[in-house]
Amino acid sequence: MPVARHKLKSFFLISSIVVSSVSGFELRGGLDQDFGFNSLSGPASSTSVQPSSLSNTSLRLSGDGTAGAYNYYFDFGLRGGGDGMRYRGTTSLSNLRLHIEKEKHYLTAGNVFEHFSQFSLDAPVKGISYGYKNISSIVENMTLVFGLDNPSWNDLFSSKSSSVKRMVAGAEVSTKWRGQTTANLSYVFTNDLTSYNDVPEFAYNTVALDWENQSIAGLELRGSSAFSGRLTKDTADGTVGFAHHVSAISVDGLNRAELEYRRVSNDFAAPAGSYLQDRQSVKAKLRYGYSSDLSFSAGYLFYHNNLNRQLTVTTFNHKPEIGVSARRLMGRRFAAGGSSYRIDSRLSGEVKSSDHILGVNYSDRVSIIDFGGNLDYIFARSKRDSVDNMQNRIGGNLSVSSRFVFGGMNLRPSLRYAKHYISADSTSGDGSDDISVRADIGWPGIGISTNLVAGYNDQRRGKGSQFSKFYSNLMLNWRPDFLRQSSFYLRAGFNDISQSSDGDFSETLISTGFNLEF
Amino acid sequence: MKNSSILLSLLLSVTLFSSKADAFWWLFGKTKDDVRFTYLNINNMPFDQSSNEITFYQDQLQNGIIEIRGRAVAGRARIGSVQISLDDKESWQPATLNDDGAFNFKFRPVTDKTYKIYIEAMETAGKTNEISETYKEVKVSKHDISSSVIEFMNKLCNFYMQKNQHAFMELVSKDFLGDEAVLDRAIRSDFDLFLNIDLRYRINSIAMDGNGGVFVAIYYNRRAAIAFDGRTYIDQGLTEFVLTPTGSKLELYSMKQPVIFGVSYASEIASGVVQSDDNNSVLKINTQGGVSVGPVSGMEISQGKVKAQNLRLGSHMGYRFDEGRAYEIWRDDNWDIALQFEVDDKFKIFFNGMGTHEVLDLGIGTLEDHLVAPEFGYAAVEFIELTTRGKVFVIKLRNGNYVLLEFVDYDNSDQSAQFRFKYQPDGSRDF
Repeated sequence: MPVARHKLKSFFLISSIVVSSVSGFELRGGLDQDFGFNSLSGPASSTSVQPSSLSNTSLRLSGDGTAGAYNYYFDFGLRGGGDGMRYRGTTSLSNLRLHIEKEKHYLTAGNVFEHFSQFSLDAPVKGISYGYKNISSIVENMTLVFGLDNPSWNDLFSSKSSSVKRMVAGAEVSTKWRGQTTANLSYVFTNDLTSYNDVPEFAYNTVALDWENQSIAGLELRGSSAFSGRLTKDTADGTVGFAHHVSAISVDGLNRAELEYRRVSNDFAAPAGSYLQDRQSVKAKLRYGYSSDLSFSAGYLFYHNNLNRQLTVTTFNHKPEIGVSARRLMGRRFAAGGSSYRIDSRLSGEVKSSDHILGVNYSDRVSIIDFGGNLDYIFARSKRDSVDNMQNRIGGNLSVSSRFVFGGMNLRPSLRYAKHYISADSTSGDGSDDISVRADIGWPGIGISTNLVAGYNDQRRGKGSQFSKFYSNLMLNWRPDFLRQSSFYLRAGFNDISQSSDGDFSETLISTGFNLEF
Repeated sequence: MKNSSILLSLLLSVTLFSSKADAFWWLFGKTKDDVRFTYLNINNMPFDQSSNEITFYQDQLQNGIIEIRGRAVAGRARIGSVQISLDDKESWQPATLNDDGAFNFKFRPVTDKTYKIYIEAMETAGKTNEISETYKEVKVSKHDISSSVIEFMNKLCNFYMQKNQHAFMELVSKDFLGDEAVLDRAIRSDFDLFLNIDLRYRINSIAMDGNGGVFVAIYYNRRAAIAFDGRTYIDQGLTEFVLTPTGSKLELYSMKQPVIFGVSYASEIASGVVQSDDNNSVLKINTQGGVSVGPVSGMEISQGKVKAQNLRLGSHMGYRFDEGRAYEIWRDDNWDIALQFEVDDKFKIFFNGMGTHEVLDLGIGTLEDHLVAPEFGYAAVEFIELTTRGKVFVIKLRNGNYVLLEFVDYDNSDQSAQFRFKYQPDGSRDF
């Protein structure tokens, strides 16, 4: 860590030198300072709140400007103090990025997020990227990336061995034909530099082709196909996998039709990508706008796993749905409502389940009162080992609010009630209730806004387990005119919890601080 | 593979050879001869998929430029001009136009100024598109996106803790990578499973790509009380999200493991795994609702610390795990488990010494799904009935050691059953 701090100092110095020799430079920043006081009564194991006094500081700097033919911007962030979660009492780097552009070329260093394809590179790396853009050329874009795939800067410098150190290198070329078809070809090489948790080290090669076509009026076709090879470095054993995605989207004003097919094999492996392994799915959606106030929708999703038949059972899922939504119902300006019916069906070996979900929602305004609510009825049935279970579930919430202006003060009181009820042979009467009141009070002229929430939550489930909570929160925010975007705040919360499992406790959380923007 | 190649070929054929086709066959007879756009994007964001008010952040813009690209068509007529207004139709500027109606227009916006944008495409006979349909109000903020991300994450966490399903799903993109409908079920299942959820987070880092996608990494602390027994589990970790902008709003586009929303079906909604030192004690729910805390499950199949072994037992055969040998149960009483075939074609596993072994059903899966056996939830039973292939059980033996047992298959012809198992001799729950 001392080495890291030394590097940061150097970065600051270099930045200062650059700043002094360029024009059009604009520096922005933010300093957040938070002081927290948490107290707890009851067993500490019942809560994730740590009874303590905490202080947390974060500094953000960003800037942009031009230096000759170069445009640039940078982001830099530091976090310090204890936040009750990680790195208590230490200072750590939270962000670092420098981006430089000159005509068709750009270079980014630090926290680099380049999206090639969901199947090849869709994650940030700590490293460097170079890009070339020329929209009038057939090769419209070319990007090179090199870095380490670590989610935080702390992991990068950590000497612990429970996470993998993974190098990522990749390239992407984008072309466009006749202004209507684009194709991106990307290659990513990923190499594990360390092992962890008994998982062997791997080396991955991924090639992806993404394409998009808009040559037919109103129809957009998109697709992506990828190949991956994974080599176990110790044994030189290898696996190959494939992934495909094709979709067709047609939009006409309020109307939209969509078809999608995905298939990602068990052996497809691209650690820097973003995808769901071992799944084949088909999705269709249709939204038909009868008028600007009335539309109908229908959809169907089917997916299953076990593409290579290695598992003993395959899980199939079917999810059809239909719906209608309407605005300005019965000529009422603020009236809006809708209804939907969905089936959520799952078949896995001898385990079968299907939920039938009927939902309605409605919101409106009567005089100065806004109200809205929704209600879901679910008939859930599951069959396992010849045992048939059925449940009726009802869930919904209702909210009522209004708004008043008294001179320079705005007041918005609201009331919310939510209920969830489960009825079955063995658990009749299970469910939950939540009721809360909220008041938002603001004095816009002097930049003060507050809100106060108080509520009670009660939950009852099988075997007599019960949980109830009284909760209250206060938030006060002051944004003074003379500091424009900066603000001072106070937050306070009190929760009093009782549980049937002898874990009653109460917690008080207060935090105050400021956020200075410059 | 073959099927998908055929599908791909068909779609490419349609693309290349059907430029005169009508995409709106599904609109039941509507025809389209008016001036219109086959596509229209602002900084790669489709117009029709964004709201009327769009906020860009200064550091999202490459070279500080906003670019509008599209293609106008007018049936058989030719597009003569495309003009853009940035000031509520007060003035118009020409876009660069190609012969086929494709056009682009770039401008360098001033921060915190609002641009009221309209686009007019005119065919050579003077007919234009419906200009009001192209309206967008665009603003560029010089502040970084952090405050918008924090506000969005606060809403996600609060709606989740309040179990407000409708409000939560309003924040999820229709293109959510794990499928919106699957996440909806996972959230509903979480709300049934957890009596109470307490979730606190802190932003670790934020990054943006050139198309406006926002990458967010957070540290979280979670406390969840399980509904069926009231037991409280605590976990913490580092996880990642990708958010996508739709106008001035953000939406949830993808999540990685460990997931903090929809943990009941984590493997069906997470589009990757965050490998970090911080993810060694995260909450996991198996397919049957069993709860455990352990290392995040990766895409790489870990063989774990204990090697899996195969076991085939005939009826009335027993097995002792610490000795690694089989017994005939009427000759010796040293076995831990024994198989019994019954007259109605059912198999049972009996446990020796009634009630001295404890068992937990982990549901359908494989041994490799479980690197750490759950700490709680075991019950002393005399036997379990084997009806479902692929089920995994964890057995707490009377000597205090743990066994993971997977029921693979059975054979009626010779009254035998096939198992895989892992035996951990050191008394720990680590496999």
